[in-house]
Amino acid sequence: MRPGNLSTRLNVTLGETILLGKIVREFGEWHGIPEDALFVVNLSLDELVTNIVTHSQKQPPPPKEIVLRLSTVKGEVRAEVEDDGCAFNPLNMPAPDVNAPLQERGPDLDGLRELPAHRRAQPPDDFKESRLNSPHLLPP
Amino acid sequence: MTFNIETQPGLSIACLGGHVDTLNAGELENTLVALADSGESQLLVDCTTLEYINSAGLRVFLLVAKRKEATGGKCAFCGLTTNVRLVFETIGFDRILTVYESRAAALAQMQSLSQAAA
Repeated sequence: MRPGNLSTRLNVTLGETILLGKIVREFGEWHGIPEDALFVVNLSLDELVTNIVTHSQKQPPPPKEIVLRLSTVKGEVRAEVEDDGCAFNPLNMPAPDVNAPLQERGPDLDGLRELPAHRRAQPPDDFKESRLNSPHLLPP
Repeated sequence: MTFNIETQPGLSIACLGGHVDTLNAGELENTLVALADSGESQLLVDCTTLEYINSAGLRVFLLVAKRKEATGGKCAFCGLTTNVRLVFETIGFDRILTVYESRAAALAQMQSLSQAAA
């Protein structure tokens, strides 16, 4: 895997998820990220950005932009998503019940949208939700 | 996203391909719900050429499966690629939805159910 990094800004709109997918794919191809890892990174970032766009408008102040950072270091892919909206900690939300039977699964689809947080929340891990000065920072 | 419909006796087949994401999940919902409501008693969603799906698309799968089951019908999925299978397994869909390894395996099972019901 070729070392490198990228930082870019996205508008707070769902349409940016298309651009996000292109950025991740091109970054992955250029840096030699394996296809299966690239899929997980793309899916996690897609869900994170979708969550920011969908939920950030409910609690002022709405974010003005989303900052995406990607890097490859020593065979690892690292991704950070930062927004300047109202803070919340996804780890404070209940863990998704992925064992619930079909008729009890809710329309909000417990599981995947919380996947980036809860997948990384299992120890040992380095997941953290943090605020650096004021922005909301969340690695997938 | 591509979407094609085939019909066999007692069985509707929706062939879904490409990328399903937040932007086109609404279109998928309209099409798949309409097929579930007006089509045959059994619905097979063939995902052989489906490359990508996120939670918005999975929500549609869940909605359609629940809807079909609630009306006494059957809904199944087949041909999951490695990536789509990973998403199914992560969210537990492989345990609550009927998933067949291949279209051939799905048809063998579902056609026999149709014949038994006829």
